[in-house]
Amino acid sequence: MELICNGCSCLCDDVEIIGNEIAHACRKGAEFIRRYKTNRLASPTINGERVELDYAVKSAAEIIKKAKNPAVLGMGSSMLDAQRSAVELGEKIKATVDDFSTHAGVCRGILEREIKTCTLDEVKDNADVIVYWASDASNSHPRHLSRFTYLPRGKNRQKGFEERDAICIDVRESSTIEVCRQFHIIPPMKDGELMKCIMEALDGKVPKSSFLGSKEIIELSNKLKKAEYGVIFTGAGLDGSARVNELKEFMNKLNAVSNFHMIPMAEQCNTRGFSQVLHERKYERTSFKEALAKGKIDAALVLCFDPISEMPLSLSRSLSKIQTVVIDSYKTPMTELSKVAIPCAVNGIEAGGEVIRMDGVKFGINKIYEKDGSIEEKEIMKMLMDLI
Amino acid sequence: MANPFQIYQFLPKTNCKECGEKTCMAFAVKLISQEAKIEQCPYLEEDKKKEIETIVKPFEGAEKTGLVIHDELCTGCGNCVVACPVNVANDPHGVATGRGSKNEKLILQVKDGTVHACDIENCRRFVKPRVLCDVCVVLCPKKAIEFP
Repeated sequence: MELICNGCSCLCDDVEIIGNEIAHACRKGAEFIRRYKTNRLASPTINGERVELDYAVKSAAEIIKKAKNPAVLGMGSSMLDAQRSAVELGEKIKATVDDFSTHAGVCRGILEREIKTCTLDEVKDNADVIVYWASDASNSHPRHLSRFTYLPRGKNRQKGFEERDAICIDVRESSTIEVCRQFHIIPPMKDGELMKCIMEALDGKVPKSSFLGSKEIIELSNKLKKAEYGVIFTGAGLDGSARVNELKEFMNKLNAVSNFHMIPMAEQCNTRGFSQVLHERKYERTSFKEALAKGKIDAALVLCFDPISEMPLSLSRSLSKIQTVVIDSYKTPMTELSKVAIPCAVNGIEAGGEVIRMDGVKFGINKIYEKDGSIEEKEIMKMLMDLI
Repeated sequence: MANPFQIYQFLPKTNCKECGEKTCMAFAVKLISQEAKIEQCPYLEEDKKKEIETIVKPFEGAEKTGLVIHDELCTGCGNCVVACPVNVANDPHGVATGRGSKNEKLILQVKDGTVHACDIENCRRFVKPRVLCDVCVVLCPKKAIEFP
């Protein structure tokens, strides 16, 4: 039986479990499926002490109700149902909602139809120029190049990688650079400047850059210009240094002379889905880190996510001082520091639901194994909603 | 990776046919595929012979299955599986399009998160006429595949 792996946002739908063997999944996906029972959160706890589920949910509801400036965090690996109820809860209590995604701007541009996009299947069938901008796909999404972009043979690209150009733009020599035929290494935070230089070269001017030679930029812009079907995959590094407006301007300029699409390399299996949910409900994502640094947050509900490993130490310290409720399947630093921790079934393995791939295609995931005792995230959210 | 041109530049280029091949270039190709020996050319000087030996030596060990997969480095990305020309020829609608496949004739397959060699005897490097294909090595992001 073929199943969908939700180890990352590639959502490979050809993974199979034959006996004890997990076939076709990458190392990340195979370990995600094989080790789902290790390091699990055993039972609901309040301040580290075991309690009954109803009591834990009741205490969680009280913490959220009492808070003046609550926040709802995470949800990158939650199913769409849980994400919808979390955003609904956020609306109700007027909370800061954040998923720590580094693709929020690109996703929003795509959903508002300001940035041209396409699906990964279209990339496989048509793309001849593939750009990985600030993304190390070989490590973050191991099967991305072999399943969707550079290597597979598609309808109009029968020779696979021999007919395609893969260009990597990054701040370091990553693993993806080893595979791509061409690469450009730029200093950190200079993506916006490189975009401006490429736009100048597209206009026929000689670009002046502090880090790349004019000839190199002109060659790159010519390659982009000649593309029949180009795709830019934007990684986590791009969002920090180039503003969304710059990206939109760059894409418009590029599309005036060529045919380019943009797909965000969403980190977790349903990061793109969360952007879609926020867009559907017209709720604004606000920066949790900024609000926390200013001391504006007094309670947080964290869903299947560990903000401690994502934030600097100073912010983690501030987070440990406020009251937190965590719903997660695994033990993390966040569950150790939280006031209330509630275990849930592992999304995509013990619990099914709908997820959205990085290119906006919706997939229905069925559970692989039966859950042993734990409750699904959406059910816990429903219990919380009823109490609030 | 060595190619016949590297060997050809050290050969006499006279096409004397004394080695049994029609041209010096054909002799160079046979040297790489281990089907001819350096001693067959009577006009080779000692220093040039040594140069050719150093080029040909790595291929002596690759008589049968010289493929090495470093399990600890492999991420199971499947680049080698999708790019391998023999895999593509044997499964054009499965592996060639990027999908996982149960085809038994595949040379490389991803199992339990890492690449495993299955039907290595059909690799282009081991079936005659030998081709020094190194697509799997070139496209590995972690340099986990090696031919000695």
